[in-house]
Amino acid sequence: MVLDSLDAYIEILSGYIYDDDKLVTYKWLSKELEIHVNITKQVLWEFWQRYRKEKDLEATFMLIGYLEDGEMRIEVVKESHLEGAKEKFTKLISEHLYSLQKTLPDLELLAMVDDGDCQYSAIKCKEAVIRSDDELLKLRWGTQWQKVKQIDSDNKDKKQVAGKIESKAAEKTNIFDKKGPAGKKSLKTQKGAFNNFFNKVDHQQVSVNSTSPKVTEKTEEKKDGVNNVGNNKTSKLAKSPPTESKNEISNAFNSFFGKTTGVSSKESDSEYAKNAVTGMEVDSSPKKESPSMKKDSSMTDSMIENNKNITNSKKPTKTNKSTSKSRGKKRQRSGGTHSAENKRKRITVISDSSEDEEESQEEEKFEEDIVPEEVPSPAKTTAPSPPLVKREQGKRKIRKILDKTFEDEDGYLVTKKVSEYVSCSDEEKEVTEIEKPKTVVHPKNSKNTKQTSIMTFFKKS
Amino acid sequence: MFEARLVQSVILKKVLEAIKDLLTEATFECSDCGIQLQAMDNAHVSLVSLNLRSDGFDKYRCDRNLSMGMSVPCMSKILRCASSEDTVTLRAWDNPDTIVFVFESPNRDKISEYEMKLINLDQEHLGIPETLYSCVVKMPSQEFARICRDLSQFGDAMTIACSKEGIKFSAAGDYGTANVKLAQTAETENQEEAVVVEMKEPVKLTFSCRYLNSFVKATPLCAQVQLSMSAEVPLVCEYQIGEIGHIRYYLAPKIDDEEEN
Repeated sequence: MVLDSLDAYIEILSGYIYDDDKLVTYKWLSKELEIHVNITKQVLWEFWQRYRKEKDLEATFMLIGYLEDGEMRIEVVKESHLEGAKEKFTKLISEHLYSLQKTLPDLELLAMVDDGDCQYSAIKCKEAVIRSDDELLKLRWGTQWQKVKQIDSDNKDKKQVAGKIESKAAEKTNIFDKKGPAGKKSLKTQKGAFNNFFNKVDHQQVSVNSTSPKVTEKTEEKKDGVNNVGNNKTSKLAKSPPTESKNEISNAFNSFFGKTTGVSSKESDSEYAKNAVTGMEVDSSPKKESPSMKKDSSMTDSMIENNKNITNSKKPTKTNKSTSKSRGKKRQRSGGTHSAENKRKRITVISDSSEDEEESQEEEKFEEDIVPEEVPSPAKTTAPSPPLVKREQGKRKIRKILDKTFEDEDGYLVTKKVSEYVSCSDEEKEVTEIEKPKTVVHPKNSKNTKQTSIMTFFKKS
Repeated sequence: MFEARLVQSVILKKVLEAIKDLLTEATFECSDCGIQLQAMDNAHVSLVSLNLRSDGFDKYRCDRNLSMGMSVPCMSKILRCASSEDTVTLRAWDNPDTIVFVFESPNRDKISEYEMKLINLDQEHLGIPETLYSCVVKMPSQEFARICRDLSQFGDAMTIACSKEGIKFSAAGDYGTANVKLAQTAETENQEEAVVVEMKEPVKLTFSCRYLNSFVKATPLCAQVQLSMSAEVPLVCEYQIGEIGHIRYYLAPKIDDEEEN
């Protein structure tokens, strides 16, 4: 890096941190300065090195590595918890500054920082796309949405666009919003709501902190961060890596999901993570019937209880039995905390596909067996947000949901909705179409008339 | 030899004022009949036709037909040197390269001579067909000048619509629209103030205000102006020059762009 540009960046960064009181994450900074994320990491590091002693400066770190059980973990921790957090890793793949700020009372506040720009991202592949609100919702609130989607797609196939259902969906959404404190809306649109959510649920954490490498990105990266908040709030709360509870949970999940998902129950500990994750993913499979949902919530409740008992947590027990709470918890588990959201969102598609295949496979079976019942909560079929648009090699690309058909390993033809960036030629035209000024002899003339020449009337003699 | 004597130099002065906005150079055709001038403006949108009959001059002699190219601004400068009461005499030799303007004061105690170089100009004489116009309007020249000046503030173009009732001038622009209607006046009224419409069929034409404003520079020449219009032919704006002759302005109309394409 050129030194003076570094100085310039650092000056700008200083302005962001000390003048604007911003929480500067490397992603956000890369967007602001329009530089690659790796450079912003260096800038942040340089800044931190220079000013950590002199000024109020709080840093958070991102740690990526493997745990003892071989699971991958991504974590954002405060500086003060850095060493402790590092000990958990057997192998640390990456450690870098995540953000710099004057003060950071809550780690979750980082979730409110604006997204980065994938243009400057270090991750370059076509799967690395930021998920739409819809997709996130689906992932987070699997069953209901999935069902709805299924029905909807059925209807679509029959060319019967169910306006009724859609309207119902809207209503239902509202109801859900009322029900769940966290709401059904996405992180992005409801940051405030999400904050509430965290305030409420941080006492009933279930420490689901690891995943199988395959689905790494899906799990919450910031469980520890959440715990830290817990620590801050209830100062006595010990760090709780509740492996026992894990087992409990995983068993619980295994027993629950084992039947329905058809995922063969493997040995618990390494497997639990998978299940913990599938807990949320399987959720999204249409298999789930409403009774199972009930089960689910009751299960989660019981899990919470277990967790409490086992970890001897000193957290004040709040009323957390309501379905809304358990939903919140589930959501937290699946949705994770927000600062990691970008990353997770980008990568999930890969792991998703396999899951989706399973799902769709199961869907088919499911459809054979069960006539799809009246859906309680049809979802909106259209994305609430405008289609994502990005520029790639000068071409405008738009994110679209496309139907793709492929053969899965069992030889079934599976049609799946895949969101892809498609170059949109139509809109491209719109952009490139530049209005050429009409060649009018007298452009001032408002009446669009043309001055004729006297020569057209009188010929040379 | 060519010699033309005009007691009222002021007429020539006014003629020059009337053409100098439109023309920079013009060829004066001198013949036994008189002096004629025909020239287009640079944009070839309007045409000026000036006719000064020989019998209007106090003394007129033209042995050979002459075409004298003159710079209008230069000629205007020279004529400004003449007092209104002066008598003007134009004098040139056969195959001239200069023309002499002689100004004599009324009591002949002051004689000024101005010699102006002639310029070679390409002859661009246009044949103007005899036209029977659908509408011929006679109106006070000052009124016309006033309307042109007022309406040009509203738009670049002015629409002149002529019907039995009278003549309507209208302009539209960013600020709004302007409409001036003149009704035919009774025949009994003062002839100079009369508005007379001779109409075969109604006409509505649009013209550039800029040129009309140049035409009305001829207002001092005559109390009345005659506007002749037919659909899709140039407007004729004619001022009589005393008993000597007339000056006619032809202005090509503006037409709808779509029609042209």
